[in-house]
Amino acid sequence: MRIENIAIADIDLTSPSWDDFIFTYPQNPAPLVESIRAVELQQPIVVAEFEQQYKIVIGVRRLLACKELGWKKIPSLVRRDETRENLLWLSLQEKVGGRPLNAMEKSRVLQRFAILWHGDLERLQKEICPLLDIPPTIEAVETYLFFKEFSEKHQDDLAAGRLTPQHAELLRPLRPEDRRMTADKLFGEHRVSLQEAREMVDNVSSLAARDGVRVNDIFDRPQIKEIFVNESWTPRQRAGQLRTYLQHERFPRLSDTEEKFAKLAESLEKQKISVRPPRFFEGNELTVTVRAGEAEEISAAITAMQDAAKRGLWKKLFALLQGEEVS
Amino acid sequence: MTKSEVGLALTDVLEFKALPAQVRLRPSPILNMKLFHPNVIFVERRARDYPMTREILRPLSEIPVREIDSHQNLASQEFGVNRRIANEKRSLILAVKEGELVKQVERDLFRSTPNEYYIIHSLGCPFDCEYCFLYDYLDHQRPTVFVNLPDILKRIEEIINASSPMSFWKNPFSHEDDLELKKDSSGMTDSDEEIQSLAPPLSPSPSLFFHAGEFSDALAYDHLTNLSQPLVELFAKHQHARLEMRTKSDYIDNLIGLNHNGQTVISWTFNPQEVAARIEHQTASLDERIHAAQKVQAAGYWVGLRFDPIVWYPEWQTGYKAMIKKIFTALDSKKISDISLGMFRATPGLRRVIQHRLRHSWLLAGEMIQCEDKKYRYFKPIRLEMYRAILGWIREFAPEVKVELCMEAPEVEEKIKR
Repeated sequence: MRIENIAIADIDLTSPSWDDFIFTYPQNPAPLVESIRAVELQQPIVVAEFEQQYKIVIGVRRLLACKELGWKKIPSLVRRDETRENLLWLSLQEKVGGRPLNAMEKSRVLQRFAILWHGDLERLQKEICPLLDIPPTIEAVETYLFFKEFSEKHQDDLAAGRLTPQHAELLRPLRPEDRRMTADKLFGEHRVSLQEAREMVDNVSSLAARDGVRVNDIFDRPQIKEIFVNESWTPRQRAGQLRTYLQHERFPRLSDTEEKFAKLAESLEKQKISVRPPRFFEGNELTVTVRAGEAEEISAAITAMQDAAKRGLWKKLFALLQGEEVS
Repeated sequence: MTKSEVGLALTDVLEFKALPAQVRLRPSPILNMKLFHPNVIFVERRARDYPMTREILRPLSEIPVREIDSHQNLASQEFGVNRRIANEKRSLILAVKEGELVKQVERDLFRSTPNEYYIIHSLGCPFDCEYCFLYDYLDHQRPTVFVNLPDILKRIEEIINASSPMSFWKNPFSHEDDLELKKDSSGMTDSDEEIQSLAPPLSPSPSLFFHAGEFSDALAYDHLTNLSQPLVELFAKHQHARLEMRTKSDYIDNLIGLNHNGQTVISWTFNPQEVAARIEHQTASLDERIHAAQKVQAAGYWVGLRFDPIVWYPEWQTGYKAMIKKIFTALDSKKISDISLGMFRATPGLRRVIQHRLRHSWLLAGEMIQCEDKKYRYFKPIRLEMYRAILGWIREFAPEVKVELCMEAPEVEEKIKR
């Protein structure tokens, strides 16, 4: 195949389908401009000829850089009489043979092939997922396709690795209008772990469902607004405050029981006795731990526990464990 | 399955646009539950020549039929869990059940269930109850009817015949031991005698229990299969075995006039109408279920009341109290075999399905915490409060009917029993 110098003006860069064969994200050519200015174009781009117009297949950033440099023509390998599927495969093979694809690029690959194959999920799982190092499951395919729904900012974050696919996937069950604010509040500079993010998304959306409001309405509450205007906190501390607030609001009775239990058990802490309920108070037994550095401390702890029994403290702690009200 | 069965445009799917009206999961209408009518039928090759296959297909001759090798691995390949479920639930599979035709109930973390069996006549269900464990249990949601019913009936009879008619199952909430229910020399209470005069006696403690509504609603397909007739008639012959047909349907036509001999309990799952309308799609309304229960009581059947799952919502007290009053006003409490109470619980898998399907449903809005068996349940004080209140309302109308809790922690059962 020979290299042809074709006019950049003849390459489609404006129609809605101009980048149908391109997976690159972002397409910003800036880093290449200086390099091409210095050492010229070292590799031709690949275009496909369709009805007297060319479509870019490989080398979109080189093309955009040359255009920015004011070039009128660009060395190209021209594919003629190729099917759309062949061109997509050509572009994909070139892509996966180079650097690892970022999450947005994987998303675009799946989008393009999903359209080409009329939504054949089975083929996407079998033929595309392995090339992209994505688990071959419907859920994984849907997760990556879902990234198309994100704002440009969050797509950029995904492509740059500032937002992980796992974090982004948490937003999928939310209404589109709620996703942006949720991502702004939880992700990015707040450095929230996946587990924390999962808990917070779950809590905020369940609160919204319980109260019959939108997720955004929850974030608009004065208590949350206050957290985000308080300049004495770091973003990470803000996320921690938000997490505590949401947990308390979402589980008022559990939080109340935890607080009551902690308050009752506090008096024993002074004697180095810690009392812990099972997780979420499910189960029958309390765990009592005594810390002691010498024999006298053991004696003191036993006395303290006996005193606690006389005061009815243990009965109260067990009543809380058993789900009963304690005054 | 590689192509849409509902003709959706792929671009709509990729744009994540709103579902077209025809594939939306609609809430149940208040009245007139629509009988299941599939839009495509898959028939296993080996099921083709069974008489039941022919019987089911005869009135459905206008519906496209596709032959398949197996009822397994038939998950829809639609984008989006809602579309997949909607798509799958509008199909019907006719298949041959191999392996376990009747499954012994396994012990769960909290209780033993000796000599209880599930009859696997179908898998999956045309109804769409958002809390259904089958969403996490089956690899697809296509309603599947097993047409080798004679094999299933034969297996049931083998189990019954192999078991001696002894009684060892004891309900922890039974009032049999209560002092005020004095037994006469025949071992019967005054209350039992009264019941006998109204309906064929319910064997008080049968040694075998068979459930027909575990892996599917027991009556959801009865207009197509007439499954109820051979089952009811089989159990009528065996005094030490009881059949429970649990349903949310109001199609009870095939039950009327059968010789059931008091060995079959028809049980309904009940929830307040505002709950049923929101989360029990395609099922009969509360009024329809009560009306159907009245009819089967009139036909001499015992009726079981299943308040399971009980769902927390801000107005639960008003809703459940009114529902209980309505049920006990309409039904004869002396022809109620037993009542079970169970709080909504969800495996992590089911919880995930609900979250993804329903954008964090109202169903999960209560204070649900993860219990020792990994299932999510309401925080214990809430469960206790709800059980106590509901049990209290029940006892106002039916002080003597057996009540048991389902899938609950022993310490909670213990507290409710007190």
